[in-house]
Amino acid sequence: MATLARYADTGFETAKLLACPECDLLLHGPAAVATGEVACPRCGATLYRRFPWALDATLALMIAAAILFAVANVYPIMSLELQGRENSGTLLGMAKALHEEGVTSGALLVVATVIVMPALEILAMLYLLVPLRLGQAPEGLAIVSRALFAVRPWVMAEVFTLAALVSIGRLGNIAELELGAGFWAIGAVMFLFAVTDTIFDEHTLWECAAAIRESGRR
Amino acid sequence: MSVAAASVGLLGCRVCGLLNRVPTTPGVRACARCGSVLRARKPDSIRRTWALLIAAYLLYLPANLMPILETGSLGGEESDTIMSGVIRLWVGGWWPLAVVILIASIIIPLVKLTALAYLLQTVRDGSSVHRRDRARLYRLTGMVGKWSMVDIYVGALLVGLVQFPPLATTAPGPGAVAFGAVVVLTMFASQSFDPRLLWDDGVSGTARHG
Repeated sequence: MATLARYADTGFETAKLLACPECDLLLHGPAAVATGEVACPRCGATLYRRFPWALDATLALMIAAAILFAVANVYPIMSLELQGRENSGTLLGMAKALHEEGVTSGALLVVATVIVMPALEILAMLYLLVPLRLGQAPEGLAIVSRALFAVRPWVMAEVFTLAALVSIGRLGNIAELELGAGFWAIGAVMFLFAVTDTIFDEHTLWECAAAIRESGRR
Repeated sequence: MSVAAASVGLLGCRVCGLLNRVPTTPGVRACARCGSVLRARKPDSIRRTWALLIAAYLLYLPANLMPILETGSLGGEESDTIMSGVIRLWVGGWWPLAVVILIASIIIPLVKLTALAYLLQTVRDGSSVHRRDRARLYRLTGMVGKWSMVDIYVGALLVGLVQFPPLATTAPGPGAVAFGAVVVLTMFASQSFDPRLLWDDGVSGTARHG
């Protein structure tokens, strides 16, 4: 408590103080300013990831994800051939099929988690990362990063990739199955998101923006 | 020594991570940096989580008992529940996929439903043992939840592709909607639970306000 009282008296250096998001442990000193992936000493939650090169790497990953995600939406995930007839399924096509079978809620869930949410995540990330990389603080950083925070749990590209793999097993017995470009593209998007998750967190955005504002003031 | 930030008038922002110093007077606070609403603890966390969880429990039965996929062929019509779909994959020789669906569609929802109920109960009891393990259990429920969507996507792919009337057709069954609802409800339940409650107690913790 003595340490805390001292912080309180001298005015907070909030950057050096930190609360664990999952157990509310108050941390100060080295635990709050280290680099790398830092975990809470009490509950083990990830406090933050701070890598000096995270901005460049994340921007590169998101540009690649944007291109591949477009491919995943345009080209079929897989196509099925039975006695000369061929059906191919795109992301949107599969939601449309659910809708046509009367399960509109399921169709909306699929569209939201596989198309809309990933698209929003990629767009929001690019919207923030491109200006930051060019040395400008992005307009609306606060609202966009809040949106990103809300959207992220509902991005399910990786789950969909697993489902596509499972479908190979179920469909292979019925007819001739051919994987489309969309399959490989969504699989690659999943991989890019997974890598992004290990190097990036929202704090990076704010630290970059703060550094830019700081240098602009000088 | 461990001190809860909220107990000394400091609230961490869940979006940008900034630690905000808040006055003790009541009222809604916004993060000084990103404008998110600051809360010492998620509002009404226990009751909201229970409500979502009970709804998920109720839907868990139709989700598992009603068919999620109906397939038609020249031989007639068949319908599959989640479990019979698993068995079909296993019998068809695709046992790794059968295991994937068994874990994603049956085990994960069960684990989530049980784990969240257990965590809620320990918070109500004010338990102070195994905190780190319970925190880990909570993180696990957050991480595994979305994988239950696998069966919904598989169903969507099948319904989109297997349309060769009259040789082979597929349609979603009534269980699919219930199952999707279970997945979404347990995800919301997991998000509305506040893991910081696991660490609160009379000594260093805070009143469960906010």
